[in-house]
Amino acid sequence: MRAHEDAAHETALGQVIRERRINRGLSTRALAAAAGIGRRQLALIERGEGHLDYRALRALARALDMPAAVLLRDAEAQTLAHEIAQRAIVLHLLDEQHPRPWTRSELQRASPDIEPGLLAEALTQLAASGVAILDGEQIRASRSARCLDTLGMISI
Amino acid sequence: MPGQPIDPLQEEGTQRLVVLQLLRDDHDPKWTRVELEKELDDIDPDAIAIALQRLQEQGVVQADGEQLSASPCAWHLDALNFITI
Repeated sequence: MRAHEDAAHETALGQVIRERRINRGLSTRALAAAAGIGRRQLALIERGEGHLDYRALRALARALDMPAAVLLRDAEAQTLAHEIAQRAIVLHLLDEQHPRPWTRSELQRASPDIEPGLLAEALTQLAASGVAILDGEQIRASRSARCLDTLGMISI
Repeated sequence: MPGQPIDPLQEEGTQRLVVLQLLRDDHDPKWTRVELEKELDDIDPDAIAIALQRLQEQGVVQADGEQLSASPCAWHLDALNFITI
């Protein structure tokens, strides 16, 4: 697994743990105490910034009353959903049939299978990495992404 | 051959090869021109220099002194499995 894939997976795993904690009505303090880890460590893990070793993962899974494998599976699914959403957006932004900038609502209409929250997160990630430019309501592919597309290096 | 006009298709091909080198997983993300020229030793160094200049102008390549790297955009598109030869 490449470093950036690792990071994406850790972020997804952190999000899954946070969602499960909130669904169970637990505070970070309560879950950290139940799992026997520090509250700050848990906060970092939930943001995808903390190192999550197998021991901590098992302890958190036990405290959340679910198998660690389920957490991992859900994180995989979330990572995949994010990648699919980002790929769909990139393909829209590079669509020559739509040369003008896109709006969020246009992108949402063009991607009905992607729920709005996921679309917003995907856009944020694409903007943070310089693939998309968000300019108020307008969204377009960056010059760098367009150049790679012009060079024929973007494959579907 | 140095100094000769470069075919546009050849120029694009050189740009593609430069990007692919910079995105290699088995190398530090930062490259020097010398390292790039060594890896692409079948390409005229002048053509590599032109390709690098074009890619920098478009924001695909970033230069920090002697160090060259692919832009975060290129890395991210590669992570999304978009980048191909």
